[in-house]
Amino acid sequence: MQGGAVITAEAMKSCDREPVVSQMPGEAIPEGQRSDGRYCVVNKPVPRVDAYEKVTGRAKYAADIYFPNMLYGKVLRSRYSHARILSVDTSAAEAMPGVYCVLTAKDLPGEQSWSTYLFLAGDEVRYTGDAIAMVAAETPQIAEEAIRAIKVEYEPLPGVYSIEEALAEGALQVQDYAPGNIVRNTHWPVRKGNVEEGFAKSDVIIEREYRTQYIEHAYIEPEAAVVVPNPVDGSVTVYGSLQNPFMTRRAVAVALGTQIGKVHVIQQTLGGSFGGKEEVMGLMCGRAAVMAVKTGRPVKMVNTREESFLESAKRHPFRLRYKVGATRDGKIQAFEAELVDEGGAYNSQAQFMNWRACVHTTGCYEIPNVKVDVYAVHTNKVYGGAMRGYSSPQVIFGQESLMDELAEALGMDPVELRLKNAFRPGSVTATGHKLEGQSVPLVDLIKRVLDETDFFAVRERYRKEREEAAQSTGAPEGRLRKGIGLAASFRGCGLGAESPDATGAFVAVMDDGSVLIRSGLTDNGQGLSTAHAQIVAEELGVKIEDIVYQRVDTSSIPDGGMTVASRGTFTGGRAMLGAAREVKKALFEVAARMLECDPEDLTSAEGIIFVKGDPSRSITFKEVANRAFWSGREVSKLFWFIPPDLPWDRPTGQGPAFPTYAYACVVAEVQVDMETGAVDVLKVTAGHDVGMAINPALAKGQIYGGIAMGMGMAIMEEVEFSDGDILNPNFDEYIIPTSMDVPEAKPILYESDDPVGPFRAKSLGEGAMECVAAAIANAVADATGRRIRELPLNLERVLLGKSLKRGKGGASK
Amino acid sequence: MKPFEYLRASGVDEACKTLAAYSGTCAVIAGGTDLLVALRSRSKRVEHVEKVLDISKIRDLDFIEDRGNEVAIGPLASHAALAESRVTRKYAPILAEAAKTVGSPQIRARGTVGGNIANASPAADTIPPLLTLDASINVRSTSGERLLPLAEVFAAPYRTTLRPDEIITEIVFPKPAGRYGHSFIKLGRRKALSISRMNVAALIGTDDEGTMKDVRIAVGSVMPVPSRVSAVEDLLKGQKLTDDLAREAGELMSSEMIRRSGIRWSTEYKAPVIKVLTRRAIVQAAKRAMAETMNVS
Repeated sequence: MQGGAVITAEAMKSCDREPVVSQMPGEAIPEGQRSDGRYCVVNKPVPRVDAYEKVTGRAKYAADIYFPNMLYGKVLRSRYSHARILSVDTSAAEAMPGVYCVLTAKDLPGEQSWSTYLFLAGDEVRYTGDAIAMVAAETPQIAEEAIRAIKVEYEPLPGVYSIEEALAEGALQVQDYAPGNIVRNTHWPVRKGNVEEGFAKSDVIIEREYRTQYIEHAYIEPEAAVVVPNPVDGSVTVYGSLQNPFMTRRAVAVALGTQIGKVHVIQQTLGGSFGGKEEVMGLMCGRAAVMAVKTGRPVKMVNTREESFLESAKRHPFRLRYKVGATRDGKIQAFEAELVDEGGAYNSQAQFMNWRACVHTTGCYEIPNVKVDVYAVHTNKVYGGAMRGYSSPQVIFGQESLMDELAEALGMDPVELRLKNAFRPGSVTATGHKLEGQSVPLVDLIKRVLDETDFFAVRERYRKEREEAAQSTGAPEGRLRKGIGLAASFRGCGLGAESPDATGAFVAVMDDGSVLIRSGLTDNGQGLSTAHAQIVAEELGVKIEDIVYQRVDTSSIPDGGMTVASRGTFTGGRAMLGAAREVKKALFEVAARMLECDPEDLTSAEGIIFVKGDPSRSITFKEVANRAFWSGREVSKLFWFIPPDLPWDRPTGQGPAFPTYAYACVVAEVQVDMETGAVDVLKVTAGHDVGMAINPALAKGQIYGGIAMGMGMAIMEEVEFSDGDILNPNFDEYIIPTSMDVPEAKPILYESDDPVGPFRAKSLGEGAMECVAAAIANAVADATGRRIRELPLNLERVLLGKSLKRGKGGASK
Repeated sequence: MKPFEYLRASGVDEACKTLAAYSGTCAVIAGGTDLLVALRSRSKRVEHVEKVLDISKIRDLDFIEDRGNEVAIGPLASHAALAESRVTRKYAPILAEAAKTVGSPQIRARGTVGGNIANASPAADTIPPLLTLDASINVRSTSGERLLPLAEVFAAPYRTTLRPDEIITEIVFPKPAGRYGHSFIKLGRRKALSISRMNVAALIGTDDEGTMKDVRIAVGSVMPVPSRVSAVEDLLKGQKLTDDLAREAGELMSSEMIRRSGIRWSTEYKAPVIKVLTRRAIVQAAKRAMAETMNVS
C-alpha cells in the first residue's frame, strides 16, 4: 500500500528543507536557517484558526452562555475609597422575591483572598472597587434592585491618594503589613560599577523626573463568567472570559475552601484582555462559585463597563527620577534612577512588574555604572496590575525621553547618542548579563528604521517648515508644527528570572490523521492558537487544517503558568515543538516499517511522509497515524518544557535576567496645533526584532494594535480620580483612539538568527506597544520645542505644560 | 438601569394627551442616545421619570423640508439625515457639517435633532449652528401650540424652558439670503466619537466689498448654555475683517466667557483656546462669504 501518496512538485519545492529542529539554548545556531521560504507552515501568513467564528459572529463569549435555572450575581461595592464598615443590613434584599442569596464577608466558606485583594471586604474598605456584599437572583434586574436595598453604615476615613502622600512622613498606612506604604516585596535594586566614579568622569550630568498615568485596558468585552455547581461531589465548573484559567482555578478553590482539582475551569473566547482579566476574574469567579454552591444553581456574573473600570487592575502609574552622566563624546558613564509606581490598595503584581522594570531601567544601552531602585507604594485607589508591556511602556517613556534630553544637553544628535551606547553582541547589560549566544541586532535595526523613514531628511524638512511657519502669521495653518521622534528598546523574552517559565503542551494524533493540540496557555485574541497550530503542523509535516485546537481546560492539562510576558509563542511554542517532535518520532518508526527504511531517512510535509531524496517512496500521514493507533503505539505526548535556570542576586540586581532579548526601534511623526494643544499622530514606523515571525500577518497585527494602544497612552488615555473616586468609568469620558485617530502604521519585521525560541521566534506581543508613547513624546518635543514630562500629552498639557484637574486630590497631578 | 414603564404614541395628539396625563413623570424618547444613558446611570436628571413615551413611530415628525423662504425640520430628523439632506446641505451647510461631527455613525443614525435640543447639553453640536440660523421651534401640548425662538429654550445645563407636557413638533429657520459664509469648529479630545470641549459656529453675511452686514456667532460648552454672543457680533458688524479684528473678536469672546461662566477648573485652558477657535471660525466664515457667488433663492 506504499506509494499511495502523491507529492506535488509545488509541495516539494516549498518544503525542500532540512528537518527543522529547534535548538536548545547553548546549541549552535543551525547554518542557513533563515526564513527564505523553506518552511511549509511557519513563517507564513496563514489565516487565524479562529477567524471564521469571530467574523461571522458565531464565537461564543462567556456572557453568551446560559444554563437552565441560572441565577444572576451582582456585587455591592464601596461608596468610599477608605472607610470602616460599621454595619451591613441585608434584610430588605433578602426579603425580595427572586433573591436566592445575599452574602457578606462572614458568609465566605473559604478564605477572603488568595492574594491580598478581597472577595468581600469585612470591616474596612480600602478603595472604591472593594466589594461588601453579593447577591444572586432570578434576573439581573432583581439582582440590581437587591443590591440597592442593602444598607451599609460607613465611617469614612482619610485616605492616601498619590505617591507623594503615600511616602510622606507619618502618612496614614493603607495596609497594616506594609510599613511606610511600601508595597511588600516590590523593592528591586540594581548595582553595577560605581555611579559616583561614573559621574566624576562625566562632562554633562542631567537630572529629570517623568510621570505616567493610570490606564485602563479597555478590552471591548467586559468581564463575564458562569459557574455551574455539582451538588453531588461539591465540584464546580467555571466558564469565563479568562486570561489565566489556572490562576482563576486557584482563586475559586480558595474561595470555596475546596481542593484545586475540584474546580474545573474552561476558558471561553476572549474579547480582549491585555493583562487585565487576571485578578478581577479570580474575584468574579470566586464570588460566583460561592453563590453557586450556596444556591445549588448556576450563577452568571457580567460586569458593566463601570464595574470593570472600578475593579479591574490598571496600568501602574510611575514616577521616574533619573540622574545620568556622559562624557563629551556621548558615552554614558553613569545612570542612577529611582522608579516609584503607585500600587493602589492591594498588591497585584507590583513585585513582578518592578523586577522587570529594574532590568530594563537603563534601556538598550551599555552603561558601566548603574544604580537603580524600584519600589511601589500603596494608595486608596484601584490597584495596578499587568497590562501589555508590564512596566516597560512607562519606563521606556521616561528613559527614552531622558536620552533625547541628554543628547540636547550634550549638543549631540539623539540618534548618534543612541547608536554610540547601543547594545551590540557581547555588550554587558545593567544586570551584568553578557549578551552572547543570542542575536543582538539593535544597531542594524535602528539603521534600518532610520532608512525606511528617511529619518534625517524628514526631520530637516519639518524643521524648515516650522521655521517658515513661525514667520507667517494669521493663517491657522501657520500654527501647526510637525515633528519626528525616535525611541528604541530591548525586552527580555518570556518570564526570565522573574518566576518559573516552564510550561506544557499536549499533542495527540488521532487515527484519522487529525492532530489535537492543547496548551496551558491561552489564546487571548493574540492568535496563540494559530501560532501553536503552525508550529505543530510544521514539525509534524501536516497541513494546518489537520490541527484541531482546543481552548484551555484546567482539567485536561497541567498548570503551565500564566499567559503573560509575551511567552505564549516563545515559551509555549517550545513545549508544542517538544511534544510534536516526540509524536513525530513515534510515527516515523511506524512509517519506516511500512516503507521499509530507517526512521532517520524520513521526512514529512503537507501530510505526506517520504524518504528524503526519493519522494516516490511515500505514505500519507493519515495511514501512518491509523496504523500506529491500531498497533497500540503512543501517538500523543504531554511535553513539559523547562527553560534553564537563570540565577539572580537580589541585593545587587545582577544576573542573566532573560534567556534572550527582543529589540525594537519606533519612529513617530506628529503634527501639533500650537494654539489648542491638539496632537495629531501622523505616522508610526515600528521596527521589531522578531527573531522569526511564526505568522507574519499576526505579527503585523500585534504591531498595529501596539501602535494604537501606545498612541492612546501617549496622547489621550488617563483614568481620572477625585481622591479615590474614578471620574471617567465609561468610554464617553475615558478616551481611547478610534479608527479615525489611529495613524498610518508601518510595521517592519526584522528577522534575526536567535537560537532560543521555537523556530528562532522571539517575543513580540508586548514589545509591540512599549516604545510607541516614548517615540510620540519625542516627536511632540521636536515639533513644539518643549519637553512634556508627564503622560498623556493631552490638550491641556501640550498647550499649558500642565494638566488641569477636576475633582479633589493630589493624584498624579 | 432605572426601571420605567414604556409607552408609545402613534400621533402628536396622542403624545400630548399622554404627557398631560402623566404630568412631570413621563419623559419623551426618540433616539434615546441621551435619555437611555441617563436612565441607565440613574442620573439626577431623570429622578422624576417613571414612564417613557416613545415618539419615534410618529412619522409626521420626521422630515426636512424646503418651504420657500424657510427650512423646516421635524424633531425626529436624525443627525445622519441632517448631514446628508440636500436641503440642509444647500441652505444650512453649517448645520449639516455640525451634525456630521456628532458621535459615531450609530449615534448619528439614532440621535435626533429634537432630542439634541430637548436634552439641552451645553456641548450639543447642532444647537450653536441652529442658533446662528435664527431657528425657532414649534411646541405643542393639549393646551395649544406656540412658537418660540431657540435662544429662549435653554434655561441651564440639561434644562429647557419647555413645560413637561410639551413636545417639539418643528424646527424652522429662514434661509440665509445673500452672500453668506459659515464655519463650524469643534474641539474634542479625539477625531471622532468625541464630546465637544468647545465648539464655535459662525455665520457671516457680507456685501460684495466684504463688509460684514450680518454676523451671527454661537458657542457650545463655553457659556452655561449654548448661546449667541452679541458682544462679539456687534464688534464685527459693519466692519471689514482684518487679522487684528478677528483677534480682537476672539479676545472679546474669551472675556465674555469668563463674565458669564465664571472661573472654573477648565478656564485656564478654555480662555486662551476659545480666542483661537473664535478667530479661526470668523476668518473661515468671512473668507467663505467672499468666495461665495450670490445665492439667490
